[in-house]
Amino acid sequence: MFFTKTAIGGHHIKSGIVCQDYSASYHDAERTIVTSCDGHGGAVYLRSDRGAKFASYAAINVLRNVNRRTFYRRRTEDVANQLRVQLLCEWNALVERDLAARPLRKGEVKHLSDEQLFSLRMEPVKAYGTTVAAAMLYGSKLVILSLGDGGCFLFRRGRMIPAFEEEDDEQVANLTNSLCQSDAAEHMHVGIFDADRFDGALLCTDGVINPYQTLDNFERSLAIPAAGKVIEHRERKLSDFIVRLGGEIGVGDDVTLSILLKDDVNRRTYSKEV
Amino acid sequence: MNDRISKQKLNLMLLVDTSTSMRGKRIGQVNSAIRDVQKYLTELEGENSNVDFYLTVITFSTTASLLNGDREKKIDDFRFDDIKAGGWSNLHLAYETLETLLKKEKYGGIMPDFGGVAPILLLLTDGHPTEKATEQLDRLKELPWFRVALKYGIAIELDDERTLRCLNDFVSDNGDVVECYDSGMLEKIIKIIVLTASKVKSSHSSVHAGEVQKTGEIVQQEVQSALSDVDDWEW
Repeated sequence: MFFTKTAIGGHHIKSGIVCQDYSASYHDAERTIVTSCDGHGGAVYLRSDRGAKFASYAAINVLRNVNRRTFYRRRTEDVANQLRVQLLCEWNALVERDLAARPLRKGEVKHLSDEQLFSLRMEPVKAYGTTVAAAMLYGSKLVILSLGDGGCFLFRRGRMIPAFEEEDDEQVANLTNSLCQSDAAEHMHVGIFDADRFDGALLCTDGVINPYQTLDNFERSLAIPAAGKVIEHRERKLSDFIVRLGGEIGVGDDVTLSILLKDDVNRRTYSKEV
Repeated sequence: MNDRISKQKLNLMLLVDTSTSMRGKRIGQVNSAIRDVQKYLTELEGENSNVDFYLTVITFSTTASLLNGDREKKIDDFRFDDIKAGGWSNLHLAYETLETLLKKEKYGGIMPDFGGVAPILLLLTDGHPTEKATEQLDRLKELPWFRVALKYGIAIELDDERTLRCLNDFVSDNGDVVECYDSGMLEKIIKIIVLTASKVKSSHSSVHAGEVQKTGEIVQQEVQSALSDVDDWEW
């Protein structure tokens, strides 16, 4: 079972800014992948909506190519490093291809200061700055990749826990790590979990989690009830809520929620509103 | 699922020197400014769907304390009684108090675990600290919420390089020090800084980690422009 939904934020609607979040999913007989990406909102990140889309494509391309040999006789950390490098190469390749096909135009950069313009000339990839998060259920593995301030959580027996213990506390307020920074690989989390131990995963952008402010509140008020809706196949209701969260009741930012659950999850564990 | 949703928090934190030299007109101007700031931010919050304003006032003299004992208070719930001055100027104790606040809630601070807007910190003083505050400031600088905070120092009627250095060290590379040569202008200067910064900061966008300084610079430009109407100040 899986669910992905992206909706534009109220602030973006009012300001006439495009939605800079992007989510995608991939499903075949062997695996299910969901993504959740958030293009940055600063002036210099003028193609961050495309950056977020490319991040989703890149994550799916990389995870689709994972096979049993990927894990065979290899240390988890080596696999994680390989995925980090592949994701960064894939995203940068997509961005470079896009820049070659559609170079930055004068009209796009006219609102930038000289300093911002200079920084973009030095590093055009910055225009595409985005976070990325992706989760894949594949055989006995649950793989999660994440860079930036999006939320990545695991479901287990009706509870939600952070996917990564070593939280990046540097990411406070509106600061986030990004695929466009030169040391992105150092900040990218990769988790390869035993799928038997978990019911699934939840990914979201900061527009979803920020209005809940605390982990406990987020778990009880959104994550568990949302998983319940997916299990009960009431995705339409969840989808409508995400649209409202973005456009009306949230903090005005774009919102993305992606949920991945095993087919044999105990319904009752997630069925009640907590 | 929407019953526990909040707007983003924007914390305004004032560190007010209440040593003996602040008595009289100076502390009177500070009190008037805080009252007006509270009134204006309450109105701004009503107009702004993005943020809830929270106010914290740390006073420091011989000891440091939180006004009314409140670590933070939503702006419209803030009960303000005039601050009184008297005692030494133990800035290091104010820094220690600030350190306990500028952490995520799950670590015992007042900052949200997720989201939130970089806080605005305003340090007002009219003299050199009684004791060195270097060690306490170094500890503050290790806190991510302190580093992203927009920081202003107001030097009240002082011509003392050591104190200016102390204020510059506080604002480090994300803020400014404003010299107020006439305490009669203090109220106006406080209001301009706080209100302009609050307005700009309450409409924020995400940036990647290297861009924090630029966000601060936008606020600084706005504040500088607003302050240009005030005759008796210098940057």
